Amino acid sequence: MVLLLTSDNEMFSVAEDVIKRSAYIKNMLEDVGESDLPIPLPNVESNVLVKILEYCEHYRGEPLPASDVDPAEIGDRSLDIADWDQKYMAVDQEMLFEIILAANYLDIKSLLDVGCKTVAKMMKGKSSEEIRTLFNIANDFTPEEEAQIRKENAWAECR
Amino acid sequence: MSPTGLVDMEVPGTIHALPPEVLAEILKVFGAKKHLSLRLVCKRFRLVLEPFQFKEITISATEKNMDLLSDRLASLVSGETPYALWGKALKLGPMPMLDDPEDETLTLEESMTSQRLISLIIPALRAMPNLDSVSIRFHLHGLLVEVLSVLSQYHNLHQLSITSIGHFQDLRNATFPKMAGLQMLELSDINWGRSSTTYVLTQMVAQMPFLRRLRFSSGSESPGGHVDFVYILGNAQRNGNDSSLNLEGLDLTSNPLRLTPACVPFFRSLRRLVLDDDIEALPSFWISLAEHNVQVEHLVLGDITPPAVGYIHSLQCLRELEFAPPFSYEGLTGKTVISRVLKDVLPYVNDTLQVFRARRGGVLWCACEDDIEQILRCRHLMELQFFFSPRAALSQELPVTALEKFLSSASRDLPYLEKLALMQTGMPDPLLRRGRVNESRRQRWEGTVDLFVRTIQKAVVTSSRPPSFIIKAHDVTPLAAVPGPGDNQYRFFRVLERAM
Repeated sequence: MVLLLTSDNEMFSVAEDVIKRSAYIKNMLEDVGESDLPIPLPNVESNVLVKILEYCEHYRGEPLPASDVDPAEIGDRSLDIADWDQKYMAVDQEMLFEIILAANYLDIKSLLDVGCKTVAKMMKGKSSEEIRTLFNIANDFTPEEEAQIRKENAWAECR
Repeated sequence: MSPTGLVDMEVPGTIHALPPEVLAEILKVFGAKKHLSLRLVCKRFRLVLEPFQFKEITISATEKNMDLLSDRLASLVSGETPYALWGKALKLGPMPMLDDPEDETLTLEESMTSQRLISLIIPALRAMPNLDSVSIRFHLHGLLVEVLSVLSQYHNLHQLSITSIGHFQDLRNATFPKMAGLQMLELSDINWGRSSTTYVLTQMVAQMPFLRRLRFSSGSESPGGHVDFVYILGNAQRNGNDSSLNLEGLDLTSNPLRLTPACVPFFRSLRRLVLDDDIEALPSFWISLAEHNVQVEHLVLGDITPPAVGYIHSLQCLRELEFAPPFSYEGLTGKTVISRVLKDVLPYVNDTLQVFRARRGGVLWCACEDDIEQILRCRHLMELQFFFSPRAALSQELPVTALEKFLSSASRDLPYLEKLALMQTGMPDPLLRRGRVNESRRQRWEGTVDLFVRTIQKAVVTSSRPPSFIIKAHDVTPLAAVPGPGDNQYRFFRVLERAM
């Protein structure tokens, strides 16, 4: 078992083969060897870790993806997401971004990939204004800057 | 990451909580068009998308954009678009109106547009310091040396391609700048005489010590005698500072050049050799290549000759081969040439060959069954270009049974084949493409191509596994295999390019 200590000071005891999906923890265990000391995760809150562990538990026993293969490089640019992953990602935006951040921090490539695809899918087919509304993004361009970008875009589209 | 710090400004619980590299990961799944709308969302998106922006800039004339061309060049010069800085590859041209700005048929307006375009070329190149590849496809009007001077400052520039290099008078006393980074040079459509070509090539190549690939083709008007390649390379080497001119790729088309054994020292690293019909490669050149163990992997020849075949026998890793059958070969003429050449060549390379292209030549390609069998023994073929019309049938009608047999064998024997380019013997398709023929002949040829393609669509291919390849027949849309009508049977249908 591996002990994990979240940023809000909750301790989790997790089976090693479950949490080894995180390349960060896997490397740490390999570097440090067996230890009773908890691994501190100052960037992950307990509610997020629960969610992350749900993912790792679900994929327990499945082969780890080769660490140095970038999915984009093998041509997987589609936005297809497995059914279970879609349901798993059906959370509010705040949690969605927390999961992506934690997956990035813990270096869980497959989860980061699913998270990124989920966000990309939300943007698909939407205008820039709709994307701002969806993610509550302020338009921080001055009218002049916006006009300049439109001009640049027109330049690129010109045929 | 950015001077404004905006990219690093992460806001918890929102999309701005994501670090730039993760946001980039999300946005990169989209194509260039979506990126344009995404960069309008906010400053952070725009900055993150910057590295994905277009790196290749093409400015060429179409019917619609004639009047916009100089505006586009001017906007690169003025710095009002960041594309000048982002651009890594620049393709300029073709611009037909620049071919002769003094053409009397041009209107005053067209003439002024041409002058303005020419005046913007140098400033536009100056505004693009990150270029690594430049292709200019219009008449440079005496600007060549100036173009080279600007580009010689760009250390990333490794590829330069210039068509319509201009008049020799403009270059007679030219001093060419050193281009230390340049690895690939292409010069096409040079219509000068022998001594002028030799002079300019020698001067230019002398300033390119790390040149690895050279493509050179002259126009059809080149008068007078062979240009001696050894002289060019030898003098370029003596005049240059570096003494290790060592070409990896050489591509010579339609020009009076002679290759002799004395060239071989410059070709020790040669991997790719493309020689068109008019290049005179002396028999002793081929013998010398073999003696020096020059192992090319890609060989494209006009007519194949016995000495070239002898050289092919010395190759251990030939991956790509293209040639045309000569009018006569080893005392043979006519149809027997094809069988003899295939027998002389393919058994020696069938373990390594991945691409084989039959090229139109002195005799018509019309392979008999034995010839096809020779080709099907090249098990590693990924691309095959072939003229189909079994010997008996040079008429317009293509026999379906023979085609069915050929396609079935190809499915069975060539598991790696991805592309099968089929052409009908005797069909002058390049001419069809270039539109140099009158309308009635064009219609007749188009009719023949149509019949050819319909025959392919009729063929039922029998194979225990689905054919792995698509068929390109002349210039029409590719045909892909679909199952049916029976078990282990397939037919080929046209597919939309987009679905490929």
